[in-house]
Amino acid sequence: MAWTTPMTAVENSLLTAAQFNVHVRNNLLETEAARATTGNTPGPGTGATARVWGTEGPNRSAEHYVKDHNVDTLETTSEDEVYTDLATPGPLVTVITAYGFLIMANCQLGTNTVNNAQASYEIYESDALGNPPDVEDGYFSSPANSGRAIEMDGAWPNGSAASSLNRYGVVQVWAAVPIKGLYTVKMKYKCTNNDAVASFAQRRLQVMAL
Amino acid sequence: MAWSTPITAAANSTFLASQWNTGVRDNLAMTAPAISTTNGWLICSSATNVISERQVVQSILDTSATTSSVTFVTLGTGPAVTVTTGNGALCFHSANVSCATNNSALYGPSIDGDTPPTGRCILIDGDGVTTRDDRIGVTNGFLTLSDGAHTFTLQARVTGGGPATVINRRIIAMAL
Repeated sequence: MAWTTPMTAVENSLLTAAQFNVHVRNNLLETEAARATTGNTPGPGTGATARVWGTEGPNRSAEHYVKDHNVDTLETTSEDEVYTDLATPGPLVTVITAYGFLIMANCQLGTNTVNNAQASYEIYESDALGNPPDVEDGYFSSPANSGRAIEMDGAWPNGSAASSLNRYGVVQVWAAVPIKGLYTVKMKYKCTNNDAVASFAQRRLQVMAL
Repeated sequence: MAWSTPITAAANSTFLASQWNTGVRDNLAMTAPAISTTNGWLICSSATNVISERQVVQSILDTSATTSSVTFVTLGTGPAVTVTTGNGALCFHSANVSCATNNSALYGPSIDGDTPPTGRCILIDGDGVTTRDDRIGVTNGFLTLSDGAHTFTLQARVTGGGPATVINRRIIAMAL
């Protein structure tokens, strides 16, 4: 169903059934009240989903999912070249969007040396369970990078991975997905030197589709 | 008032007042312009074919406060905000937080008086040498709430020793 500019009535003319169906019935069916839903949504993360209404192009509104996922376990990595999964991957959240996301991530992190612990996130086209397409390439992905990472300098306060995990957070808008579809946001982790051990705990990810 | 599938008109059929009232008027009364009352609120789905307006509220408490309590306490008013939600809310909080000893300061939102778990909190380690009061923000999702009014109150504690100091405190709740 698509929105149609409502017709202008003219004195002494009849409203036909076809006009009513296009200009009244079909436009009513385009409203938020006609399309408001509940229930579980695709993907990993909590089954609970909130829905905010926003625009989706000219004369079109859409439900935008708000979802979250937490991974509390303290886990480590010494990977210093690329952002990687920890033993328990994620957290990760899958939503439908035609535009982008408001991404909110936070965790406790630190290292046992003067080097830095970094927690960032990747974005990729996915199926409903958060899995990327079963092909080598040809699908949309945006790898994790340090420009959007939470970063904790391990030099402060006392260099003990077990006890020096400060909790930080970032909030960012990431826009411009190529087409409307399912996308997964997944936290990934890195250390700035492979002689160090970076630790991460109480990882939190909230995503609002835009 | 409840949403009903809009009627489909048929050529040369009688169009009753009751059909108009149910199929058009009552449905128009369920749309976003009809239910909106206040500037700056969101429209959210609250049930199948039901939408509601939801508020984004902020509370600020700039004054400095300290605690050496090892259980969570509300410092002054918190700050705190109360919003009416559907099944969820996002809560954003930020503050300068420090711990003057070799312990940790935690500062996080209690919802309706519960005890904040560590995972909700800003956490700053002190080393007992240099007291830093970094300004940090954390967001939490609460997506399994019951419909109704919920109060988010920032609370602080230390893991030992202390004191913890909080200043320039902000809390925002976005009802969903």
